[in-house]
Amino acid sequence: MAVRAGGSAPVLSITAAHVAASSSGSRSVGISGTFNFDDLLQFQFPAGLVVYQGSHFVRYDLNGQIVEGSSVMVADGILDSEVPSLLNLGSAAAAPATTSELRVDRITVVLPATFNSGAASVVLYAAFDGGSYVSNSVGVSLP
Amino acid sequence: MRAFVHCLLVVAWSVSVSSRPAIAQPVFNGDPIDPATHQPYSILPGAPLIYPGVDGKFGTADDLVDTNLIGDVDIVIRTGGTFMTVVIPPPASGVGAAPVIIAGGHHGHVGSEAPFQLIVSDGATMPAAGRPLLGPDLNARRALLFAFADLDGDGFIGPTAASSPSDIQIERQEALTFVGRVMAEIQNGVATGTIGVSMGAPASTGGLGIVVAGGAATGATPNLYADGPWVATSLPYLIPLTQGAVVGGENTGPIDPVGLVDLELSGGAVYLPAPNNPNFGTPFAVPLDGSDVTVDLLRSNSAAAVGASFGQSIDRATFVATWGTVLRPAVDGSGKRDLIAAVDSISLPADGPGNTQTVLVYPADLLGNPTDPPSGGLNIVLEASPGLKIIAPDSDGDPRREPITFGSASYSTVVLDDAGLAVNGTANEYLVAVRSGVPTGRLDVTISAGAGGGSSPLLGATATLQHGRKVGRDHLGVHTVFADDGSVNPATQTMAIVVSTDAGSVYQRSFGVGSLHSRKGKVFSFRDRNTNLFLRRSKQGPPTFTLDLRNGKIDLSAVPAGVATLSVAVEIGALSNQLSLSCTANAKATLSHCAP
Repeated sequence: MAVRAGGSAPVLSITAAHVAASSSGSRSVGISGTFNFDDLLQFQFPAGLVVYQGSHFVRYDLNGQIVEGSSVMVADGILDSEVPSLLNLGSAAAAPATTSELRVDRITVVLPATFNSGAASVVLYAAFDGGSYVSNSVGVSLP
Repeated sequence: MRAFVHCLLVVAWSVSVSSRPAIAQPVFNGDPIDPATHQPYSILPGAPLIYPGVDGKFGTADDLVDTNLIGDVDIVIRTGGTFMTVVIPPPASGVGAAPVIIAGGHHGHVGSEAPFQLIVSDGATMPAAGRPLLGPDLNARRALLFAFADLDGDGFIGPTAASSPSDIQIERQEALTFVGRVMAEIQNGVATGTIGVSMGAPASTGGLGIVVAGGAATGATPNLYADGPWVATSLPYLIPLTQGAVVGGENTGPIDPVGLVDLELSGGAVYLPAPNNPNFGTPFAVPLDGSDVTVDLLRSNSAAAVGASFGQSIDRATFVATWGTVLRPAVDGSGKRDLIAAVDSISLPADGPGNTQTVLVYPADLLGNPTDPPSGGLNIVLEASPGLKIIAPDSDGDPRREPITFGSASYSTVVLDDAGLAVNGTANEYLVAVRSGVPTGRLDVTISAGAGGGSSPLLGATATLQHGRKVGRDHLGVHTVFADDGSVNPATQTMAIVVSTDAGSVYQRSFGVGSLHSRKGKVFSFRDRNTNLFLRRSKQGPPTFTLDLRNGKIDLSAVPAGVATLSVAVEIGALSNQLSLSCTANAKATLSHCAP
């Protein structure tokens, strides 16, 4: 296996998570943390954010693809070994799902209308050089 | 600033300009050799030898400075794919002639990348960039390229001899900010690839000038080749001599330079002395006029607007450049470029009117770069969470929302204040920029503890919290009465309800204009899958409103069991009412009833 001239594994962590809602009912979830922003600026590999509530999930890849679906696999959390399967699940997310902010240490996404109010979880993921990675999972309360 | 070098040795140091370089690399032919290491010195092109001495730290008493030893050209970078095979072409003559790139790179497919070529040079003075060395001598060595942005538009990266004292920290920030970095591998004297950048400026202002610079390894030992001196283009500072202090990596297996960059460099590790050093002047500022043959340029335009983002003005008298600070080339109200600080969060005290904060709101692309709005303009509504007020502008008399139309890239100025609610501990509020009903940019606002002020007590309130058997199936009930001072009109005003404990928010919900169903202007209601709300105008006696809220699918797991106090606040229009309640719980702490 070729060894990276630099770091060999993505560094994923969530240090804070926030939710917001517009008066029309659209909700956004934002995280602060690390997710190899500078590397993903230069070349692509599957990486992004997943918001999940029970078995329902929406995955925001940082290449712009947003996928939504349901799977019992996510109901008890997402392990790094489950990332390859996760990448093949779901279909185009319902409106108004979008990625609204991307900064070196922050991602904000807008949820599809299909999510209920209440508890949900957020996790970062990446698949790189044959390996799969997830961050710590953080709970949020959706309005 | 740092202590100036006061030890200036020339002949006494016995620098040996050997005709036989310690490392048999043609790139070092004729270069001066460090007698201590028998390696060529790492000297930036056109700059004098500045060596950190025994302590390994630049800017200390044992530094060696020799202004008679000037670095030659070892590597050059070209953007736009202009190098063919024989002659190193000149760089772009200025930002206006540079290849155009859209900020964002691969992120969200919003940006683009520019091709680059890093070419090893023999350092000949004619032509100015030297002649390309296209042999295999540096094969497999890795190169690290950096992109720097001319944030203040003065035509240089970093402080110059002419920089005013109030500008120096801003210009240092340019040098400490990488807007892109990527690795590449040298093969037959050339390393190629593409580079994306994270920053841009509105195309209407001419975009953002970018310098692409870099360095390369020259050692003898695979795979990192870190056992030799680096060679570099012009850089806005000196980097550590040890390659491992610049970029890390693993030393086993075949190398793949196009991967994750383990950047070890930090602000404290670079040497960026004050301009006009008495010993060596100002050798590091990198120009964007094409006069530096070792680097090349890009012009970065911001990507398409997705919404609005937030910033604040910079106080140049107190600003200090730090690694990781983000400054953005915005546009002020008169259409002039204005450098602002990107902000994601601010703080306000819970003290009612006064002690406000001013933020700047601007059309932004996905990465937060100020950008031009689409033709037809960009319509945004700023919406504040219940504990926050928009003081100015106020075109609609509603302190919780403000429509803004951007007809150009110019920012708008917004003044924020707390809503006057009492806060124990801290309260997390926010301001969102909503476009077509969808939140885009977000500003987090921390309200610090205070008595509030400006809110009236509710005339009465009770609340019940019931923990259900399943998470997310808890129940909240709120009953409040508040006075109508004649300004309340639920049909045309936003309303917000906040229920909180000392530990934080239990429930907060905003109801936008028109979201309440009106029955003859006497009863207003709202219903969704979780929430039932009724707001009734009093029929007789003093004018009041009675509000009843039920939420049967709330998550109360964060509420402390047997919570002792609860705060209920109702805001409608400019009216703000609050009351603190005492709570008693049943034996199992599954049901709490709260009353004044």
